[in-house]
Amino acid sequence: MRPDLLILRFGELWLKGGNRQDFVRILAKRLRHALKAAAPDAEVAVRHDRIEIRLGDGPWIGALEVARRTPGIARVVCAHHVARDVDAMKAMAPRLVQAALESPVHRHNASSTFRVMARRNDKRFEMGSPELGRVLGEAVLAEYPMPVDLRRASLTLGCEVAPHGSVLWTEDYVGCGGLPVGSAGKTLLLLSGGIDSPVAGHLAQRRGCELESIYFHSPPFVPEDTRDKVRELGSVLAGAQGHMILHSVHFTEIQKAIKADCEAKHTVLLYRRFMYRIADRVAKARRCLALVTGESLGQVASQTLENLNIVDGLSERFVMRPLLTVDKTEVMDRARALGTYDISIRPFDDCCTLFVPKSPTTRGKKHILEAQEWRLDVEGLIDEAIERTELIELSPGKITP
Amino acid sequence: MLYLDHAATTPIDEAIRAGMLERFETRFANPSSAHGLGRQARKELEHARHRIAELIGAESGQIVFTGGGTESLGLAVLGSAGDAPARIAISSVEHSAISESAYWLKERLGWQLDEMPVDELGVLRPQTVAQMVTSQTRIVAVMMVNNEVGAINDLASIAQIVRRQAPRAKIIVDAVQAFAKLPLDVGALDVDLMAFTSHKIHGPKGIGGLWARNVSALRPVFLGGGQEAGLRGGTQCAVLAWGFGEASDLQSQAPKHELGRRCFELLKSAVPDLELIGPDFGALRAPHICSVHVPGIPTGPLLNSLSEAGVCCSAGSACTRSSRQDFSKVLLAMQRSPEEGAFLRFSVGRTTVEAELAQAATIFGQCVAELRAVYAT
Repeated sequence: MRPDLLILRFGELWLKGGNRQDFVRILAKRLRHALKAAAPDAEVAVRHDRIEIRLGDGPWIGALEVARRTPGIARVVCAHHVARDVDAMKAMAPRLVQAALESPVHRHNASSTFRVMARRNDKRFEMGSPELGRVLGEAVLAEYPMPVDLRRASLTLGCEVAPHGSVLWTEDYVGCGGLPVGSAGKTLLLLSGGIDSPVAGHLAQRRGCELESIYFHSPPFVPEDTRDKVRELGSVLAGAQGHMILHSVHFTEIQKAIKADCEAKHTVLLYRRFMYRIADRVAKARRCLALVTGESLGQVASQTLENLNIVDGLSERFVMRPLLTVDKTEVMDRARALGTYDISIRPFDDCCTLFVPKSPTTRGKKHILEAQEWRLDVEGLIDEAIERTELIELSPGKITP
Repeated sequence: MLYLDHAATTPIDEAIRAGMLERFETRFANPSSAHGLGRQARKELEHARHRIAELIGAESGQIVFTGGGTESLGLAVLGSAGDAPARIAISSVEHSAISESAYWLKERLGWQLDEMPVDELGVLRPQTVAQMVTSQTRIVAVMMVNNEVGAINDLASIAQIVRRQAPRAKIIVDAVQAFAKLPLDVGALDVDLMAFTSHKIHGPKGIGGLWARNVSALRPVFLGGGQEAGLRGGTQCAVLAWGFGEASDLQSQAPKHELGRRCFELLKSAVPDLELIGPDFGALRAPHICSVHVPGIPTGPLLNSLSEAGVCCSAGSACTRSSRQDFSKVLLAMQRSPEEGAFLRFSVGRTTVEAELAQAATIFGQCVAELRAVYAT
């Protein structure tokens, strides 16, 4: 049944003290922006303990999808207006329950259990919460007899009587949780075409980070298809924040120089040291407060503890590694949920085999790498790569209902 | 942009494009409709069929319009296969339209599949056919011109052998790269089915043709309203057919050129150790396909840097691009390996001019030199 409004409940935002209003303001802004495309006639209204999305006559599934995906929202309730009157509520409750039982999610069966959760916020209302719950329960069970289970029913009828209106619902969803994107500040995500980095970016967004992203492109050794894939991954992340900037760094000359002048087994770590330095420079110029990477401990040769130490000091900025201790299978599950997995596994090379040594070192030593870098014009190469960086503006990919 | 990928597809001829746009307004009617507009569309459709038939020495009634080369070949193979499993022989370098249909017969219907190897030039030798075709063989499929290396097969000799050794076999010819470019006469050539398409000759995409000596012997692969002799039900498009007919005439009347050969000469002057893949230009090679081997560097980066510099060409066939076959099946069958270096296909069309080839050759030389410098270290 088509709801009249979506009630968005805050998660830990509720715990914030004096600056909660700032968080809520950012959240409302994010929602308004995302709804523009997904449900143009939906309106966002801020209440003291929640945000409401009033649905117009247009498509509303897009609005629900936006609400469920937006960081900072713990639960989304699909609510129906009802007159502030017990008889009206008693009439409507069975109809909602009927629709829920017929929906593919519930499907009335022998094991369906039921409860009512009523809340009276408006003390002028004629009935108290427990009594209201009992009355509505009786009205529903008279038509649809089911066992009652107040702890964990498979179907819950919610009811809220508030001064500004009363609502009933049977459908509510778990939201994305976390904090509104942007409430923590801006960070720079090192984005590749792989599975991990988009997930890392999403987790950072969920903790309130707005993202810019940086990609290291090596034409002609890596096809343009790979960069298109990165753009598409970036567009998914852009969904949570309206748009996202992708810095596409021309990395070819650096790889060529390293390959020509340095020992093969160190090349991968040397590339990474350059990537960190460049990312840090870009982050500084763009006022990003931290770097975000998809590194995961021990996943590949360059992500051993020894080798993470070798890159760690190169950024003046704090480096966030949300996936550091997360298993690959879990990362893959998250990527699927985020919608980036199928993009990431498209078979385009993200690094030319030419530049990957047969046996890269798993235990790099800082002084040896520094010695290797003596052979290179490090600053000159970085300047040139930054000079040739393209700035690409990414818009959100379509939100699929 | 220097477009040298005409074996993949061609830009539509300017006059055909204009003529089609006009006809989308005047010839939109369903050719099966009985009213005047329908009759006009039907006339256009049948006239196009007639022009194409005439070009290859066939009767109009032997031409079936399809959606393109792949559909024609699929209809030829699957439509010729009877209910009882038998043997099918195909050359090892056939287009996936043939090979995938043949694998399907093998996997799903229990046919025996014989893949006939080609020689190092990509040519299917008649003696190989003699060794592999038996009296049990019911279908033999051979391409006239190989799409990746331009090798021309001696169809007359191959057909003679098949008739002798496998009198019940249907001979299917993939003439997609040859149609309207090489002389084709189905009266003189003793084969049963021949497939061709419009978009390789500056015609529109979305239409191809299948010539069948005996149309009624074919079975449709899907059913519909009986159009195209019952072999391809569905509303016919007179506009596409007109474009195809026009393209066939324009292509067959175009002066024969030597631009493929010229392309190779210019590329070789830029990269002296360049090797031509397939037969030398002349009677055994289609004049528009110039496939080359560049020693010492891999294909991907070279293709990318050419693309970046505005030169459009292919690694092997454009058709297998998305199926993640890293190396061309055709080149493998010719005993080549990716370790040898880069393999590229340049292919010219009616609109190609020599100045473009010279420009492309200069860029090619630069790209190869740059990459060789990197790979030498």
